[in-house]
Amino acid sequence: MSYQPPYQQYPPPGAPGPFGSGPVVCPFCGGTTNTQLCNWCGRDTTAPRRPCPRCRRMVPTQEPVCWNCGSKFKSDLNWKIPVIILIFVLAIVLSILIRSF
Amino acid sequence: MARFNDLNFVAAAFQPYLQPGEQIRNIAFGVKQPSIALMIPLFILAVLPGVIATAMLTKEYLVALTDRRVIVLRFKGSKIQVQEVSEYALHNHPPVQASSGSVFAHLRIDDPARPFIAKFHRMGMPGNREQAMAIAAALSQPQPQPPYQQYPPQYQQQYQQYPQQQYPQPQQQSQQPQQPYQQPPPGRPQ
Repeated sequence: MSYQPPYQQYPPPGAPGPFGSGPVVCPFCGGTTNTQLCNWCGRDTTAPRRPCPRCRRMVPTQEPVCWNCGSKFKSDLNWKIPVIILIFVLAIVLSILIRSF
Repeated sequence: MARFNDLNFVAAAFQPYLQPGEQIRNIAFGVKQPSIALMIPLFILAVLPGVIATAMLTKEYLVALTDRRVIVLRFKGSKIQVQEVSEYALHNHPPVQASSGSVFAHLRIDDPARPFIAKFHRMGMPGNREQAMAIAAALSQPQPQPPYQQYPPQYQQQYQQYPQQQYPQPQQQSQQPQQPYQQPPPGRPQ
């Protein structure tokens, strides 16, 4: 049995929807929905999201893996914190060296 | 000094995230710096590395007010490489705190699920301060409820399903006073 998307009735253009005027396009699957939860993929259409660096599709921030290509998201702090620590260590070492010579 | 000079370039960054027919009203550029409790020890430890660390930990935001919602883009780089997108509906927004100083305008959205706080420098963009205060004012004002919420609760779900139809108004009770209950005459069989 193949998956059948739920039946949805589109309101006429300009009809009031959950965001004030008409249906909204789900940022994740591209389906048109009238409710905050997408009728097609079930995700919250207003949830914070980020673009996948590989396939550029939108992924909810809470999901650690892209639903389209499966790539894992990495926080910027993973490389920023080591770099900051390295800069401070270099600065301290340089100041000690300068004072010693 | 200004982070962005071309407003059209900034507005173009929002185009992929707009719904069909959605219009942008205001755009502002804001930043969120790390906590002052972290910045002060870093500056005491070493000034120049502290400045670099603060710059690296500072998040940049573009906030747009549209006719339907507020869109927040967290980005990096001068080409507006979007890192994260958040949005807040105008008709159902959480409590908002806004303040304006001589240099910065502050905006705080106390959403438990997606809190947002940023400050907007008056030189961030042309008219950045006015744009930020316009966004804060739009968020602070009570917005009218969407049409389906103006109906009684028993009709709201029906309106969301069939918004193009006319809905019956709840029947008003007749103005004629009801007749008081008449007790049967005594002695009559029940």
